[in-house]
Amino acid sequence: MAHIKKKKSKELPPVSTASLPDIVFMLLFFFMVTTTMREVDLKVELSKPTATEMQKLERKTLVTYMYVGPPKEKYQGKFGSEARVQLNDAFAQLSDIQPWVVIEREKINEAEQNQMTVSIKADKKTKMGLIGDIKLELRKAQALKINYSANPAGSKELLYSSTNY
Amino acid sequence: MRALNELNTGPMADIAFLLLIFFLVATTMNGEKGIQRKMPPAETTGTPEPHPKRNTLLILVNNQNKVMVNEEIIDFTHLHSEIKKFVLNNGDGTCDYCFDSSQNYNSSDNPREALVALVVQTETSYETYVAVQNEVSSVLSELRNELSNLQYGINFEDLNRAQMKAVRAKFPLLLSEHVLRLN
Repeated sequence: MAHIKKKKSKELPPVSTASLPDIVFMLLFFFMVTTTMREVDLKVELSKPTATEMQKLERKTLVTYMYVGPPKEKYQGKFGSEARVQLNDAFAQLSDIQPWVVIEREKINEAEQNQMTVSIKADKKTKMGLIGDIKLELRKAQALKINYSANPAGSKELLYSSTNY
Repeated sequence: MRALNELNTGPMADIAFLLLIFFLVATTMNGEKGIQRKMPPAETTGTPEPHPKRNTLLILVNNQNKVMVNEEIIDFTHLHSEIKKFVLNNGDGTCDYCFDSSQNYNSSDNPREALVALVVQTETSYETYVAVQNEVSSVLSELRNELSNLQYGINFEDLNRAQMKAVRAKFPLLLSEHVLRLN
């Protein structure tokens, strides 16, 4: 009896992979919690300005995004290289902004519609003439809460040195 | 009696990996951040009330992104101190919470009256505009934080809603914007 048992234990047992799913699930949950879905297919070049005094957008459901910048190279043949506005997945005219705001506002539940925030993601080289026009359209559409999307600068000194003032 | 075979969990890892890779590809890491502002409604009934000149800090940014404050071109790095000096000024002496403030009668009456007027031109870059907005925000958050530390002994962001409101009312963000169009 003792002899047989000894012989059995000499065989190498297979490596247990039972804990592998646990590890992978842990990673999975981490990524699920920490990430946000990419909203749209970006059609404009977007190099955001930097800032230090920023607030986080708390309620994702109340935020609508608008993109402003020069069209990406593959779209430049059709749309030129001047900065354009992108709403949802398509380039838009300034006159499209008001109806777009109305549609986006409808998506938010009624009690919170007045808290809607429009996040303007604009390229840093955009001219203020265009931004001013966009803001006027937003004001006309009663979308008064806006957010100038920016990248965090490491420090004030970095902010000054990264831009040529 | 033979022991029951262990459940084969190999394929489970495959499924989890698949999901993991999907989330890795479909997501972006950085949370959205930015400078928040509230704009006035578009309909203006009647002419706006004239604002006393001494209570207005005129910041002009031209097409070359040069910054001018009260008719003087200044270096961008000095903008912060200029705004702070203006907001904190205690012209009429009613601001009992303004510390190390000057009492310049030609500048703002008190922080509740101090209006920053930001005028940009059509060719001004958005980058500069955001940078100026950033400076305005940074001055106010600095002042609010100082006051909050003095009154409550904690930072502004740790205050409760009512306290925040009280501090904000003492240092409100008064900003007027305009895009100057030539011809």
